[in-house]
Amino acid sequence: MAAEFVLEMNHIGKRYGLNAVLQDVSLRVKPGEIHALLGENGAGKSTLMNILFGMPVIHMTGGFQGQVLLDGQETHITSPQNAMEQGIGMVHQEFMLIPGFTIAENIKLNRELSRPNVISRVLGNELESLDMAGMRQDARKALDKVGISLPEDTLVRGLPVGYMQFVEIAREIDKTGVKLLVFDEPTAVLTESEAEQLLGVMRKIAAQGIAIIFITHRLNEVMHAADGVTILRDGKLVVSKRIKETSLMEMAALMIGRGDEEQIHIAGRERKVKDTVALRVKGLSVDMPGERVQGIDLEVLEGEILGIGGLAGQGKVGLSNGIMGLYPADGEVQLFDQPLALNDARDALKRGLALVSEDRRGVGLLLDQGIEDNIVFSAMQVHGDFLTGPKGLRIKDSRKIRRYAQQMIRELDIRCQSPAQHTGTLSGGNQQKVCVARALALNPKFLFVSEPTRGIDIGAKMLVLETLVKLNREQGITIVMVSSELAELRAVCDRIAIVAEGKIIDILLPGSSDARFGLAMSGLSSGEEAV
Amino acid sequence: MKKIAKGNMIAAAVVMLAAFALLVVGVWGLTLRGGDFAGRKLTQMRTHAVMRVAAEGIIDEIALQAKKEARAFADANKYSRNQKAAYASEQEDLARAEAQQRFAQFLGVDSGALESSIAALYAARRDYATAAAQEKAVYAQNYLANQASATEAPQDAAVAVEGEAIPEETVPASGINVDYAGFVTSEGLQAGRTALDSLYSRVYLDMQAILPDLRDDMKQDLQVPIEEVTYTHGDNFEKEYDRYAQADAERVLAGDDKTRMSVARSAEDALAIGIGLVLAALTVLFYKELSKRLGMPRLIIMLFFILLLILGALYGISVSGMLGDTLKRTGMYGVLALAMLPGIQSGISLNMGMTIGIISGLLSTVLVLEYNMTGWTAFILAVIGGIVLALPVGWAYGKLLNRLKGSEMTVSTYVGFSYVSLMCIAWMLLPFKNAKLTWAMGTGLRTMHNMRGSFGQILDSFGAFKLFGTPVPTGLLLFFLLCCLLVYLYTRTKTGTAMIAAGSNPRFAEASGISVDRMRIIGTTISTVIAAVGIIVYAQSFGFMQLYNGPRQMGFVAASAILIGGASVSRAKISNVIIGTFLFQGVLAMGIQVANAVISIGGLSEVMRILISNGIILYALTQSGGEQRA
Repeated sequence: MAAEFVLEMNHIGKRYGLNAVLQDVSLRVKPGEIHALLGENGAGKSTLMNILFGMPVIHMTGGFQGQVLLDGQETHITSPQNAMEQGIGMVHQEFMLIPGFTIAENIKLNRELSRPNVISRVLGNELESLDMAGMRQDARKALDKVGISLPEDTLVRGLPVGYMQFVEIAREIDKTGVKLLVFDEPTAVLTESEAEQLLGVMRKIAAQGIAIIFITHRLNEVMHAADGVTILRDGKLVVSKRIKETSLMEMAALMIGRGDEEQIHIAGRERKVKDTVALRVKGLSVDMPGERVQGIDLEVLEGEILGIGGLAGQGKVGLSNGIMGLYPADGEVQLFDQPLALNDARDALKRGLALVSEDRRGVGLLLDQGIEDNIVFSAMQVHGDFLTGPKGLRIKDSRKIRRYAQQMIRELDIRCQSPAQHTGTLSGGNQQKVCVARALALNPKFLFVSEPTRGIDIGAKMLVLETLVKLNREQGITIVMVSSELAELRAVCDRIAIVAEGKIIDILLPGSSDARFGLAMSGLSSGEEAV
Repeated sequence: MKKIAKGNMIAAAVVMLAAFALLVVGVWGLTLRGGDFAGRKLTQMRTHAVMRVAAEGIIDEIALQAKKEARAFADANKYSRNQKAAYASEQEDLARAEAQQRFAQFLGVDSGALESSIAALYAARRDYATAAAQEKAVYAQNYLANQASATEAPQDAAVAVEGEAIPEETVPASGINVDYAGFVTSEGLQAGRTALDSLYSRVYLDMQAILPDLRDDMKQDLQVPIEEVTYTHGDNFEKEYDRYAQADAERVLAGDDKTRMSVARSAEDALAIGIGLVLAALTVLFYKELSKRLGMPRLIIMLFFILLLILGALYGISVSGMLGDTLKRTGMYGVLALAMLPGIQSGISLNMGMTIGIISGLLSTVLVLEYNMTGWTAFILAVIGGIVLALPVGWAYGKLLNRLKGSEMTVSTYVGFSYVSLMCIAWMLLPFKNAKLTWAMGTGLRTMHNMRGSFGQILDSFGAFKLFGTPVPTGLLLFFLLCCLLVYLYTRTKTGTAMIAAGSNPRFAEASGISVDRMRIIGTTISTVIAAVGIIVYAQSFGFMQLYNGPRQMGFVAASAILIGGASVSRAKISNVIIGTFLFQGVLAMGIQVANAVISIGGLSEVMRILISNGIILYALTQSGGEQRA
């Protein structure tokens, strides 16, 4: 007798240490339903799915609260293998296919059909021969369900990206007894027509009674394909609704909406924004893996703090890295009306640009050198500061470096044992302050700050943001701040540009409505396309 | 000051107490040695030993006589062959036993006159042996030098087995047998010999007074044994005591004297063990602090180093000699190990291809030798030439490494090996004309070249002095430290800091507008240049220069030194070079000597050498992860 819901996750809670990442979240999916799971980065979607699949990371950090029901029966999923046996499948964002194998072989990988033979009778069933014909038949059946007419003995190598996605789906469907499939951002890598085709396939699968959990950022796809939607925000359940009962605007607002809670207040801001353009970007493309920028036009005014927001992987980080010459970039950039050479980090720094990188440990710091050496490094390399001795034989001026470092440590309140302490031993917040100090040592006119508060505690967060505002106000440094945290952008910035799919979708004021931010993040400009 | 655990405190206290007791014994023993008492007793023992030798001579003589008589008797009575042999040996044994009864007992005899004549013989004998040893050493050196520059056969004996190219100073000395046929004693030595002969005659006369059975015709036969028991070259208190004790001379010591002499005999051993225990106690006490500061591996190696020193002292190897050896080798290999530093710092990890720099240095040295240059001019020109030759190859090699990022260790090892092989052809073909350098027949350079007469030992002997008997190669160490200082100053320049940043975090460096590729080339070039200088320093100290396969394994030796010093394949400091070279070469030098002393079977020394040196290299490579970040 069939239960009403194929999957029920009731009152799920999960903490990593003291940090609650899920609180009282429930998710119910009916058989044959396409259920969309929405939320910003860090809203708790992945954690919820990790729980569903019994990933080791969950068990190793102390398990979770709440119960999981499959077909109305309470169940305990102990491992991904176990989840598969219970009929839960996952279509991965990155394809897990072997290029040198045929479609049929990939579909049946690790679940091959086999026949006993002479050798296997002696040496065990590891050595049974493969039943290629049977495997081809099974693969054909699965491919037909997905709706692909491609011959099953084609090699996976050379297939278009869209087709690889379909092979991946066919592999999940071929598993016997599959009743729930999770699609993790399946359309992220697909072209528009391929995405359309995929949504069609999903509906076809759902029509056969298999439930689908559809994780995506694209709200219009949700409107288009899903039957129900669950929205998470900051680890809490916001709403669970039928699609018919909601609208694009409402979903966007619910996804972002902070209401009054947890506002960041930066005291006493007076704006000194001039009319002159500090940085003019035309048609900038940046080839940064995972954060591709595809043709951005942008004007930053002198003296303002411009925020750049958007979801992860959409290209907001690529902008600053591209202009600073860290990744191959193409386009036209003018700094104070003078053209800026792209792909030349030294020139960018010489011209008064500076970057506080989002990759603190990877790009921002020399982890096995002291704080003072980190702080003065760029200034020494770019401007030749902090050196002493005759020309040609100039060496580090230890005393000057020490004095400057101590001054910075005081001003930015870097907590450390001594200026010579290795930065690798500092906490995240203090490391970030060292990065800021290094950028400041360059005396920049224009500062890019990328994800300044990622991975640091709330106290340090406020201090970093306050420092940025102070620099902007007191020293007149124009700042472009890239961040995934909309709340902090809205607290600090004069204007906020939202990037999605490598382009700037909209430039909003901090006071703009949640719905407009939500729409922009999912790639829809709130001008004409909004419902 | 860190708190010290109670357990450690107690253990340290116990060990310290034992150490203290041993030190007291040692000091007491040394004072005994210094005083009149020990000298007097030792002279008594010596006299006893000499008389014992003489008595043995008489006993042998009597036994021989008895045997002869027995045979004559047997012949007269027509004994069969077997009967005759049995009878003879029976008679011989009887006579020997009887003679021993009669002659081995000379306790209580008044030997005052003999003692003074033996003391005179002892003194003369000591002076003579020292002088003779010096002259022989000079002769051996000249002989080796002639061998090295005249014929090629013996040098190949020195260039040990194929592939084993970590040459030791000991190799030329032990590998080539010096033929003393051509040795001519000097006039001074001959005069000494004559004096010795007359002193011996006096001793013999005095002995005849005590042992009337000593016949004149035995004088000749007994001269060598008696002189040797009196004094052998290289004797010290312990050796003499042991030798006399073996001759049963401890019997002359009555009661208390025996204990006191034993204490004097073991004074140095007690001191050595005592000092070792003190160090052990200190290590136990400050274990935490030490292992944090130095890192566990260095602590272990340092303790092993000290253990070797103590073992060496116990086995009678001169401690000051071992320390001197260690210092010399530190300077000798130091610059080569330093060459690893810029490579690691610029991010190409261990520069095993430093052999290309080494070969530049060798080439420049060969050029200097070709034009018969000598002294400081030769050395300075060789260094400058080495630098000039190393610059372009280092640069090109850096370019190559930039094309093959990620597998530098493999590539550099391969490049190093293949460059050595390529140069093997080149050494044969290069048009050198100087007959001192080329093979006697045909063309091409010889494998081994003596640096004597050009700039051999020029740094070692510069300002060299002895500190408590430890020879300090001042110039060599100063040159090494000068190189370290230059590299240190370089790392504090703008380019130097950029290079280190490029090595430790390429993306960080790029973000600051630094060309990582350029920094890697600079690092590689500097490494190559230092290697060129390093081999010149090495050759002048070693006294020989090896071409062909000689430089093949140098990279491993240098890499091991810096790894043992606490560097990792991606992070290194100057201190790693200095500490590492000292420990590595110290353990290597002493390990071999001690192993030779412990296992003195001939031929095993070479095996031990390979085992120890490669063992340390292997251990060093397991340390390539380096110490934990502080």
